[in-house]
Formats: sequence, C-alpha cells, structure tokens
Amino acid sequence: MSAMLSDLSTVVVLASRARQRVRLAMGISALALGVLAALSIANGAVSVPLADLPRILFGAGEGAERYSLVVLNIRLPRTILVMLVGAALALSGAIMQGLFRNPLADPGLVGVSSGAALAAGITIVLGDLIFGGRAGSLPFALLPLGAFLGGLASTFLLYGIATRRGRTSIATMLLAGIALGALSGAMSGFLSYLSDDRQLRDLTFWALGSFAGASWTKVSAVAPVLFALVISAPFLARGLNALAIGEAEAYHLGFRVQIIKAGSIVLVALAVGVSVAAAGVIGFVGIVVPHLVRLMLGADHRTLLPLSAMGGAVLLIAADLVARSVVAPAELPIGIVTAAMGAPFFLWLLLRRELGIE
Amino acid sequence: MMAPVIEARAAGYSVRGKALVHAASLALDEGRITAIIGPNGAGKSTFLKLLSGELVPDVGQIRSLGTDIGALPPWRLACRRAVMAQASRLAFPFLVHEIVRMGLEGYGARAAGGFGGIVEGALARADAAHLAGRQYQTLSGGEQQRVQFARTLCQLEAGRRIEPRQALLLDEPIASLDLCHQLALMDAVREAAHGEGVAVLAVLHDLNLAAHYADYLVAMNGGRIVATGVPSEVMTPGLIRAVFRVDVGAMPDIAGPAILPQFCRRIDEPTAA
Repeated sequence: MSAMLSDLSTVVVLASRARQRVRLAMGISALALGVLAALSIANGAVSVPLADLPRILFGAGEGAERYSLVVLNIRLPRTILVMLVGAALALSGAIMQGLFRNPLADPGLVGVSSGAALAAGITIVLGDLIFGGRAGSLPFALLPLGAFLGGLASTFLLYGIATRRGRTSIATMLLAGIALGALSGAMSGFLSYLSDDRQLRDLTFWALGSFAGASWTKVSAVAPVLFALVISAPFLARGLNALAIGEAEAYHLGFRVQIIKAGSIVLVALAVGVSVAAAGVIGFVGIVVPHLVRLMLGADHRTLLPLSAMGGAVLLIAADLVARSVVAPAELPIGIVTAAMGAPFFLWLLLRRELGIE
Repeated sequence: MMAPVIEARAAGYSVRGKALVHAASLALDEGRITAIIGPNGAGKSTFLKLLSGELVPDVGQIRSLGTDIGALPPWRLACRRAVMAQASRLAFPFLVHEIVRMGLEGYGARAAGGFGGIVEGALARADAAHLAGRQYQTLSGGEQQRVQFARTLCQLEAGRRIEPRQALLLDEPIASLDLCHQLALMDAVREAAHGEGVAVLAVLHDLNLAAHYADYLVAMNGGRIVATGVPSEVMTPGLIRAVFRVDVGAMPDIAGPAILPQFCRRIDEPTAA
C-alpha cells in the first residue's frame, strides 16, 4: 500500500512539475515577445522613443502625432504580421512533424513553402495576364488562395510519396522535398522569364521572404487563419499525441485518425499558404522552434503547440529586427536571416541523430 | 444468451487476391483468456487486427455486443476494447506516464474528471511504476512493452465506466520480456480476465505459457482456424506436428540445459531493477 502511495505521488509530482515549467516558459516567452515587439515598433528610419509608445498606441497625447502615423500605419501592422506569421510557421512545423511522426519535417524544408510560392508566382504572372496587366490591381485575396492551394497540393504529394502503411520514411521525405523544391524553383525561374519588371520584383520577394510590404490588409488575411489554427490546436494536440505511438494505436485509443490527418494537412497548407502570400518563403522557423520546445518541455503536443506558436513569434520578430538593422537603412530579406540561423541548427540536429544522442 | 463483447463471424481478409484469413469465426467470452497459437504467417496478427477493427474484413463480419464493429464510433469502441500491438517506435521524447495517460485520451473529453490514480494503478499492475518519469525512447524493449501494457490497462479501467463489458487484445505481449516479467505480465492478464471479467485474446508464441494461462486455445495455420478448445484438448503432439512441423512429447535430445518455469512459484519480491 505504501508502495502504491509513493507511485501515485510520483506521477502527480511529475505532472505538476511539468505544469510549472510550462507556466514559466509561457511567462518568459510572453515577456520576450512584449520587449521585442516594443523594440520592433520603436526601431527604424524614424526612431520612436520607447517612452512614448504607450501614449501613441493607447490614445494620442501631447506630441504623439509626430510618430503616430509611422507607428500605426507601418510599424504596428508589420510587427503584428511578423508575430502572426512566426506563430503560424512554427505551429505548422510542429503539426507537420506530428503528422509525419518525424521531428525533421518542416514546411520550408520539404517543399511545401516553395510549392506555395510557386502557386503565388503563377497567380502573380498569370493573374496579370488574365486581368489585363493592371499592375497592382490584383485582389490580395487571390494570392493567399493560390498559395494555399499550392501548399495543399505539395503537402498531399509529399505525404503520398513518403508515407507507406502509416510510416514516413525520413530519407524519402527529405529527398522528395528536395525534388519538389527544385521543381518549384525551376518553374518559378521559368515564370521570371514571362514576367515584367514589377512581377520580377514580386517573384524575388516571394522567394526570399520579406515583411517590407506589411499592411493591415495582410494582417487581416493572416489573422483568421492563425485563429483557426489556435482554435483547433487542443483537439489536434490530443490526436497528434496518440499518432506519435502509431496510426493503428491512435485508432485503438478512440481517435478518428483520418480526420486528424486530413485536418492537419489542411491547416498546415492554410497556415503556410497565407504566410507565404503575406511574407514569402521563410524557412527553418518551423523546425527550430518546435525542436527547442520539445527539448525543454517534452513532447506533449498540448504544450508543444501553444509554446511553438509563442516561440515562433519571438524568433521571427527577433529575425526581423536583425534583417532591418544589419544593412540599415536598407533591409535584408528575412528568409536569409532565418536560413542563416536555422541551417546550422538543422545540421546540428542531423549530427545528433547520426551520433545516436536522440 | 448475451451477444459477445467481440466476435468474428466467418470473417475473411485478403491482400491482392491472397487470403490471409479464411472465414474465421470466434467469440471472445468474458472472464476468459483465449490464446491464439500458430506458426509465422498463420494469420494470427491479421485476425487480431480484424477483431480490433483496425482492418475491415472482405467477407463476414466482426460484431461487438451485437453491432457491426465498423458502425461504432472509435471512442465508443475504445471504451470497450484495448489493444496492445507488437512493439512500435515512438517519434518524440514522451515520458512514460504521458504514454500511459494516453489510454484516457480518446474519450477523455466525454468522461472527464475522476481519473486520479488510474495511471498510477495501471503502471503498478504492469510492474512499471518506477519508470513513470523516464523517457520512453530510452527504455529497453521489454520495459517499453510493459509500459504499452500499462497503457491498455489504463484504457480499460477508464472505459469501464461507460462500457462495463470489455475485451483486451494482445499481440505477442511477452515477446521481448524476460522470464520473470513474462509470468508477471501474464498474471496481470489473468487478473484482468478472471478478476475483472475482461474477455482477453492473446497471440502467444510460447506454447508452454499458452497452455498454462489460456482458458481457451485457438490454433491457426495458413489463415485458417484449425483447432479450438481447452488447452489439454488442443495442444496434442499430433496438432503440434501438423501445425508447427516439430515433434514433441519427449524430452528434447539436446546437450544444453532445458528450463521448465515453475509457474506457481513466481517470486513476488520486487526485482533488483
């Protein structure tokens, strides 16, 4: 009986310790997010005094008008968009890894993003052809839709190629991703020969990723999708947990596996699609963030998904700050910054697996 | 006569024209351990997958309490039967108690609350309580098997509130266990069957253990059920020779020692580990 009691307390203690760690991590990420957001709003060509921020954001006072235009129309939408896209990318990375039962899956790495970018490129070039080349008149709603369909097609294709009997072969997945990425790249390159100067600029923008064109319109396109992701995350998290043991096991545990898989694919494609439409291809956020969260807080998707979202926002806003300040007053495409940070991390991950640490 | 928790009615399953299971009929009775024996490729695992609902039979039917199993929502079925498949690898660094807790997840939202102690109890019954805080991926094959067993016990315990009549399906549950834990796990299985009235089906390769623990034995060969009955009727030298192509009956003529486990004398002291 005493043995039973001590066992009982072990599990309870383990669970409460885990909850404490999660709360701590939530607090730290929220704090980091707040600080970085303030820095992101304050920094730029016109530098806004941090002390004035509250006045500008929450009702104009003396001398606030000077900055409010810059802050409210440029910096604030950009900062919010960066956070939303960061959260969406990290979330879709975490969901995709759960779906593929593989910690190395990432929408950017396995060609989903480039598929979305290709579809966006097709929309830009062909859209202009169809709508008679009225520069810039293309409704913004078409781009996310095109990018979403591109992301969806690549995800389905990838899943079909790499998964046999519920097992995803990591080698097949990565290689198929490379092939899909190369194919999308080739077709995007071909598109560039069909396009005019403005379209070419747009295409380059999709390929490397940038938040320079952030606007409230883009925020309003990304926000509902992220909202849908966040709403479905708790349901999805329990399903992805079960899926980690195996597809058959998840069914035995009482889950509707097909719905979980289809839901995950659609949500990932949606998130990647609108992210690509809003800011182009930004790689490695989806692999770095979930992995760090797993390392620190364990694999439970109920923790992993919300904290990946927060971590993704933190990472991308930091990357955006770097992109804006390294070559100021010009700015780097943010995809370059995340790749420079993420690619070494990915190599380190591969080495760890190779050495059998994981 | 009440309808069985799970029953196969002339269920058959084939892949690309090759029949893996031929019109097999079997009813799992509550409070009884049914063991399936047979050589590799006899269709044992496929038959178990049919009974669990994982595979859908091409012909015949799998019924649960009188309903076709495919018509039941997965969560309802999960309350009624738990399944332990052959060893599966885990993709992420879950902790042992998180794995066991997943037994509650499929219908957790529907029967929320009051699950305190179930995870702990299941871990203890599978002799895995000391592993609760370990990472599943770092465990040995045998330890992982005990944790998966604890997960099924957890699922049954929680599901009992909704579905009091239950089944437990085990596919080679003791394949990677040491001798002591083989007996311990089978004792726990027997406790679930005889003590709690669960209908147990286990695919077993160890004929001695099957003969000792099973209340009812099913021999399969070439996708067919070739014999059923109590072990003493089924497990005859003739059947073993016909099914496994091995002569039995006499002490084997081998140089090394032969071990005969003393079933009644499993030492209940905690293991050194």
